[in-house]
Amino acid sequence: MNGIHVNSTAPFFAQRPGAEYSIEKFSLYCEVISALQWRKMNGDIYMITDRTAAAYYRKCGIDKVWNGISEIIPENIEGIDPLMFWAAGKLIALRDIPDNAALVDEDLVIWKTLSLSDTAVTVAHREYLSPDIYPDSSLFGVSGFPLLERLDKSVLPCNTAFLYIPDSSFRVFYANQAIAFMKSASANRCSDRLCRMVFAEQRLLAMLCNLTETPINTLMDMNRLFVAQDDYTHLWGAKQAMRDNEDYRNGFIERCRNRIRQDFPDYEYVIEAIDSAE
Amino acid sequence: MRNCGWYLWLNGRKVRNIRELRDNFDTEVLIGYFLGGSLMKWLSDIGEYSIIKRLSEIDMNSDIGVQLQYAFGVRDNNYVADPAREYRNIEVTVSADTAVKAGLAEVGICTGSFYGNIGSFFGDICSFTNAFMLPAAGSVGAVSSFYGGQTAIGFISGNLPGSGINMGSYAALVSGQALNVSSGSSFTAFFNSFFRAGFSAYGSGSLYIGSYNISSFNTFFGKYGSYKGFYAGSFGLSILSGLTAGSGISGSGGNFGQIGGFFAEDSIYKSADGIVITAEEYHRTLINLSSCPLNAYGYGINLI
Repeated sequence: MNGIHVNSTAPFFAQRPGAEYSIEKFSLYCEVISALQWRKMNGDIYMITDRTAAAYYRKCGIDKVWNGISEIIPENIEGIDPLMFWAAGKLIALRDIPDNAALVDEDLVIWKTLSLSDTAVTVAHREYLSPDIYPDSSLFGVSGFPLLERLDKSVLPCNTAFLYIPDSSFRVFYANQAIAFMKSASANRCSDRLCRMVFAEQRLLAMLCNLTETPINTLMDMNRLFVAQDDYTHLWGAKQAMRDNEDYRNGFIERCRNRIRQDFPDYEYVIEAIDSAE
Repeated sequence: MRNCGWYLWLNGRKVRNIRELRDNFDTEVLIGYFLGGSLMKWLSDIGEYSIIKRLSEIDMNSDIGVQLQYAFGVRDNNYVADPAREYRNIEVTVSADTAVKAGLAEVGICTGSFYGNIGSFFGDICSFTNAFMLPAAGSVGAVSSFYGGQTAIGFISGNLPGSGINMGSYAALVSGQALNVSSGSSFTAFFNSFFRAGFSAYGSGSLYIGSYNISSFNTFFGKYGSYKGFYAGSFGLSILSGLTAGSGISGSGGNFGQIGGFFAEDSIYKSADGIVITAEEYHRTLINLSSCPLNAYGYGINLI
């Protein structure tokens, strides 16, 4: 089972115009472990990105962590607002990859070999329809996406930190509708940095699966995510906690270094590469 | 007629060629495929370059759905055009390969069969030259019937391809049909009804409070007036003002267990705002809140 990481630099530059591109060390370490662990347990993994990030990975000297790097994400993400839709690159990648692959977020580590359905869409887990996160989509005021009115608003969204769609035509269908929504919504830019993005990526997926009667499987039960388990690591909101807490961040980084030395000694060189990266 | 190696999902069916597309025409889904970029690729894969050329001429300032119907020679009675819909500044991606095959890189006209033997919509129209500029005899009558009686000559003359369609179809829809509920006025209605319902629902203590974005907990509650807030304790979430309960609870709860423990079965809780909920509702709320740390702190991080 092939996997892909996806990285678009558009959100970075939208927040920091004129800056030199960089990735935080703790994110880089997690990304590396995510890729190497996938290769160890599941198959090849590729980085789908844009020209700027590809150059960054090569400059850092960590590009060999993946089986290959593909620069198919356009720098301007086709005019989609990168602040409102910071994960738009993922949908573009899903639309354009030539072969099916599992999409793995860079802050998600899968510690085991997965056995995935050939028919059902597999996602990380479902999410609750909390109105703070998933308000009524009619409030978005997106006039250029009329399909919205046909979709069942009661279906639970899917957390797409992991996403595998075995039917490539459905994958293209979902990606197109999500991109269409993002493009339509980008016509009316606003300060929302969450609701519209998770709608486009996570809630719309569940709605379209419902529309087409496509079954959905999950890696985890959303009611047991906080129960101790050995299979998945997802930084998720801990990334912000690491930005805010130096001790937490440094402790995590040191554990990453030890894990690479222990499990991936052939890639121990990435430690120096990441630590010296700017 | 060529089949595509992959299908479009239209009206619940998997569509692989142009006839199946017309038979299962789904304007709303096709808008998504068009804006998403894959409609052009699908048409390129089946060799329908004349349609690609027409789609490349779509006026993004007008309702795309109507123009898609026209480009494919199909009328979708389930689709209601909305003059409020705007697609300005939306970039529609066409791959270089598709553009070259469709002749988009050239200046010229598209000749030859456009709608083929559609019959029911455009009758015996067999060819257009440069989309509406020089319609074939007979096509004028068929076009005018689609646009609700507006004469095709009046529709065509002096109008750019696309803008004429909108004028005609809009007039037909206004005269005979209700406007789509996503128009400006109904959006306001949706907004008001949602929040009115939201106020009362949240005021009585619905499940969905705070949830993942716990930093907005105070704002959410303060804004909608359901709960004034309570301590989240051990999860380290933003500390909120203490609650004053009917059972005398106030201040910090320490952790969820302690907060939960304050409430005996069937007890009633009253917030500082005077909102009353049962202990069961409160416990359900805490269960939902216990998922918040996942967003705040992730999971399985200890495994590294």
